[in-house]
Amino acid sequence: MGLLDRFRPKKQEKEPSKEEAKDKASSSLDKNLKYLKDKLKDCNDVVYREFRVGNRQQFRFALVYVDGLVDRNMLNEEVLKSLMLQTKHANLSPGIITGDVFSIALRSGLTTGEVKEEEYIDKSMIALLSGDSLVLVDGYKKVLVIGSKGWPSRGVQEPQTESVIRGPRDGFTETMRFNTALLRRRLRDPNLKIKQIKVGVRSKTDVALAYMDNIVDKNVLKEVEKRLESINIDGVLESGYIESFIEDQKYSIFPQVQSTERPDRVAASLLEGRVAIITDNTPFVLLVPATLNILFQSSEDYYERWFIASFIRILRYASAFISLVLPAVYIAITSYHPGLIPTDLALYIAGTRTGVPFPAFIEAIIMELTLELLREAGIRLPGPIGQTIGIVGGLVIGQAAVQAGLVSPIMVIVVAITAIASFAVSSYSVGIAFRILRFFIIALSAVLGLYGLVMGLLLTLVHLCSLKSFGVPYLAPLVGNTYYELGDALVRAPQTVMYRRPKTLAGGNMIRMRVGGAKGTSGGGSGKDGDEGGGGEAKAGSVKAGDGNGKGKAGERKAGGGRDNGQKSGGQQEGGPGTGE
Amino acid sequence: MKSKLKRAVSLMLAAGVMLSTAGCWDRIEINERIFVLGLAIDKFEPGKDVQVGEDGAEQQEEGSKQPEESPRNRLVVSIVFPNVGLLKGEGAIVSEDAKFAVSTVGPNIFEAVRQFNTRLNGNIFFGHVKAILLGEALVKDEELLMEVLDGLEREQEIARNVDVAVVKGKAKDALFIKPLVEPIVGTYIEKIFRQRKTGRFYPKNFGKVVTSIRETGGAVLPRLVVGEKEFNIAGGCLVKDRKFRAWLGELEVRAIQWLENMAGEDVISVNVNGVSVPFELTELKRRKEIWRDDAGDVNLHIILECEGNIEGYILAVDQDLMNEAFIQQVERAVEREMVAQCTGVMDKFQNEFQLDVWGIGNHIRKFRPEIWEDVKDNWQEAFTELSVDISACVKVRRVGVIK
Amino acid sequence: MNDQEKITSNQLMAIMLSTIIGIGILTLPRTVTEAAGPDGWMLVLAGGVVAIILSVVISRLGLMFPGKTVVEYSGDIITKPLGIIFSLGFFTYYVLFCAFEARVFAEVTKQFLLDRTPSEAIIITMLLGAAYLARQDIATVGRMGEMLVPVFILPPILFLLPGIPEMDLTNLLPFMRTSPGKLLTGFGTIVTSYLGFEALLLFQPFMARPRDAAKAMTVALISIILIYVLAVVTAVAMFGVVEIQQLIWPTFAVYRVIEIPGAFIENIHGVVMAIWVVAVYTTLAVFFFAAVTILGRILSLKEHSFTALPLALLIYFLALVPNNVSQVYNYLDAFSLYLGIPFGFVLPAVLYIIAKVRGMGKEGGNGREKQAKKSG
Repeated sequence: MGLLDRFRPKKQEKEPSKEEAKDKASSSLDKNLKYLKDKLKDCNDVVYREFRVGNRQQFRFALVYVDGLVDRNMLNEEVLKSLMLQTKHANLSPGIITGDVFSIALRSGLTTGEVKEEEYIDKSMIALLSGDSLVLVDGYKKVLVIGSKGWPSRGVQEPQTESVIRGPRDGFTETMRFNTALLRRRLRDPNLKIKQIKVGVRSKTDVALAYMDNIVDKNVLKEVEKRLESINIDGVLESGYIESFIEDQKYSIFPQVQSTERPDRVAASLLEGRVAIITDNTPFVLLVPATLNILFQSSEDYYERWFIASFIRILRYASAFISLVLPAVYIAITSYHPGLIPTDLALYIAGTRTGVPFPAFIEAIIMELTLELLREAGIRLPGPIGQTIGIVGGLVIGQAAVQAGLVSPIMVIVVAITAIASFAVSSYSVGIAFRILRFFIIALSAVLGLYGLVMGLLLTLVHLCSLKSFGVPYLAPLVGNTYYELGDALVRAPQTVMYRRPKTLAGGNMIRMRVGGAKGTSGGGSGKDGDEGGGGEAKAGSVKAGDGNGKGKAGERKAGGGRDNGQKSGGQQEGGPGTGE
Repeated sequence: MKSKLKRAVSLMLAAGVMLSTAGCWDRIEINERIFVLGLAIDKFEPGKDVQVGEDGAEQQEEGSKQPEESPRNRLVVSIVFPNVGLLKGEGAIVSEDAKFAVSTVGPNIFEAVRQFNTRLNGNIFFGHVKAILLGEALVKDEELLMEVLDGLEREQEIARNVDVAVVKGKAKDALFIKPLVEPIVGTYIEKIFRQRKTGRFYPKNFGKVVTSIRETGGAVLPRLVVGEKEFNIAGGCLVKDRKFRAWLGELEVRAIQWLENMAGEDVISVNVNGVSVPFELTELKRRKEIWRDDAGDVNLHIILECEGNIEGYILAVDQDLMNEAFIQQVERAVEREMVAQCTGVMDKFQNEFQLDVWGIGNHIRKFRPEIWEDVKDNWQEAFTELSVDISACVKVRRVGVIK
Repeated sequence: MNDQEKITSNQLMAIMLSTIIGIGILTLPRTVTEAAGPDGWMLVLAGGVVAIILSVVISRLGLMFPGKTVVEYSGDIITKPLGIIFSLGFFTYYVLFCAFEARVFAEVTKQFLLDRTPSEAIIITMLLGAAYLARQDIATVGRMGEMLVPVFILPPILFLLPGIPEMDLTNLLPFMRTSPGKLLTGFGTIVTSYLGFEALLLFQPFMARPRDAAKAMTVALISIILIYVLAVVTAVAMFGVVEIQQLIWPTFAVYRVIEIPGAFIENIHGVVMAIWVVAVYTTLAVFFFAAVTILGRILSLKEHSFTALPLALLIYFLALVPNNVSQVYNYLDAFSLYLGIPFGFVLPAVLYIIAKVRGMGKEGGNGREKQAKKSG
């Protein structure tokens, strides 16, 4: 298949690039059908159904669809039946030219929901291959494209990679339209815009950009669109492809784009001003911009009480750090600086390591690699067996190794704690990054002891500091003038404290809720978010209707929600001076 | 950018190659280290020192060399370290003893330690030394003592806060015995030092000893006496002018501590109505007052404010300890006793030793700098002429659970 | 220059804090006590105040030439060739300072952490690590500062708490009995410890709001003064005036004696050493960054990060020049006398005076000249 082909730039091949050749549809049915049949030669799943319409069967129509992609019942009922049967009774006088027939068919003949006219036959073909059906009318130069998508797909299930104790259990599926629907369910706001583009020359994958128009940072949005449009590859099979193309720094091991299967997470992120990229054929939706802090969050943090959530968050960060440095600390202390630990512990460790043939860091490497192998193996094995094998296997092997005298028991404990701590990292990609980083730090501390460990951490930190995701520093909100957002970083402050949106992500309306918790006056507004009101209406107390997912009810437009570099939010009025916070 | 990636990769490779081939210079596996817990230093006296093997017995085999007298053999250095394999090792072949002690001679500590490396199977590590023992003969030799102290302070691995003691006799003997209660000698010493329930010795750690020598010209070190299966750390040893000056008794040392505002919990037994009443001292605060009297002499008044409990009397039917008169009797008796002991010690230090071991001079320098200006050039003499008055103020707080 | 991301004033504060606190703090208690006895901490205070005044001067100077670093506006003030000479001197100053930091770091690390590791290895790894940061842009440096400042300030202060019973604050008496003459001559000892603030000459135009520079510097320097005073006071309290003059690195010795019984880490001096590595790294990296920036601007390079590696090599060789630890400190003293004081303290003030006298800059000094023009 030439896996590497998609990484080489397209050179002299006369491939149709993103600009499609403009083939217009002809008014002759036969010509159109011939075009289609030629292009789609040897595609036996394409069905051509010719039929006649009119009380005297004088008009030739053809229905083309791809079997398997379409909802056949609908086609039968709404297209074939309505055109063939109902129009028999229509009063179509002989003088009616086909153009009118077309319009009649379009407007009153077809009882389907989604119908479009299409001028270009090749675009129609693409639609055909996407699951739409084509109705060709003899004598008319346009094609009717009927939305008839109905392929087999997985139902909405709990996402397997991100399960929570409390929270919704619906996850995205492989059909983009279902996914957007799940989003709409949560954000019933006309400001939720869903822009669709096609990415991938041969796959023509539908990719939808979702964002809240009055909250999003328009610069980020523009940048996302720009980067998406610059993708010039033949196939986008998964959002991971897109991710690798739109990242700021492709060579870093840290992901700068977040991917999730959970609609509630996406909805929450949109309310913070981020942009979602929904890709067809994959349940993993991308969210940008992404910071390290965001990658450490879990949606449960917001459903549980804030104190517990804060504690769990701190635990999570501590676990991640421990999983990164614990083996290296062990190596540094036992091989280089035994003076640092209490005497009894030092003697005990020395005692347990008597007779072990390997130096400490070889021990560590062996155990870590074994654990990585077990982890990978556990993923491949089906169902519950996989998990059990991972844990039990680790224990058994560790115990056996200790008894054989190959490793010391302390090492096994260290490695076990490291493994458990690494599970606390909720994002898989960050977890992997840490796993790789751990080896690097182990290597450094094996050579230079505690100094090497510190150096490794410093280098990692420099790298993290230099990373940016769509203009947002990766380490925000720990860096930069973002003290307010710290309430959502290491801890989770109560909702009433976090009533503003994070400045680093959002660009428009900055107030989530009216502090005081009063429900917005439902009678007040028409549910629109006060776009109207020009200059001086700084305090238009309009209501933001609709349920967020618990993030707040009333929104009050407040002037001066600007950003430090004086960005205007989304073209809407800023009544007061845009002072940065 | 491609070139960035290339550059990064080549850098990493270079660094990796460099680091891995050059080796990890300081890496010593923890089980290859010898954790010295106790260090004993003696002066080498030819003819009296016998080469000692690992099990503590004197080597009498033929051909075993006794160290000869030579300019290089000046010190006897002994170390004790635990047998870690015995602690937890499985799959290793270990001996039965809980600890090992070895000893060697050399011109200074560091060379002696290097000699150990020719005999022992590990890397000597001083990071966990708990106690340093100095032999009597060493302390009596001014030059050697100062060399030893400097070497110990300069060495980073030996912490400043290890405990020090002077051993009556040979320090080496202390390390070679097999104590009944705690097999590992270093820990044994450490635990004795950490006792709070006695004021009978002056727990000075090494840093404080050195500081005291620098600041006042002398220091009081605890004295350790070696028994057959145990130690006894009590009393003290006075080092003045860089060498040994005298042994001090337990009560003397206790009084010295009181005057320095350091009270270990201890019992003062006084005679009240013919009964030996033990008074447990729980708190002590010392105040100093310095002034010049009319004659121009510097006067020092030391006030000891103490609290404590009565621990015992006699079992009698009609007694009542909880009355004010009796308590006051006891209080006065304790006060007299304390003042007597302190005055005795102060006299000794003023007249016999002529050493201001409490840093009274320091105190004057800090709090009465104008007086200090006059006396600082000849402080030792001025100290002798200091007119000292000691008084105590004792309060009994509790009497136990019976009347 | 102008499309680099800007740093906030908090970031400037963090950069200054992490830059100025470096190797000086280790020997500080001893040097000030040698100079002024128990009143040594007052020297620290005095040095800090001088540094604050000079920082304000520098910030005013920088405001006169918005968007330009000293490399550019020195040419404006004292004619281009002299400006280039000044900038080259400034560059040399930073390169040498990097060499000293690296060498002292290696000495201390060898003494306390890694005995047998060759100094070369320690210096190389430190320089490479610093070079990595020096190649980034100033916003990254600012973020590093923000992240690391809590790390190397809070734990050491917290770790002092268990040692308080051992400390005797009366060691700081008698109070104020040192002659002012002694204080003056002792001033030179604390110069090295405050060097780094002059980097404002370079960093000011990178700020989002350069007007805030003075305030940020003042806050940073006050914090540094407090930290230094704390270090001196605790060391003197712990050891006394006599003993402290024998300890080469008293700040570490303080932690060597503090024990946290029952805790997992009993001897905290190792942890404190590791934290100090961070402090030295930030100092070294920022100076390195300054040197790279200056060089880049003198040579008008578009992308100046590639000079980092060659410079690292140069610094490496310079760092190996002294033969032993005593020579290192002797050279360091000479350096602070002949390069530190001029470039840090004297020349910026001189530049400012010349600039004002010539009525240069956007704001023309205090605006008096402008007002004169307006009314006249």
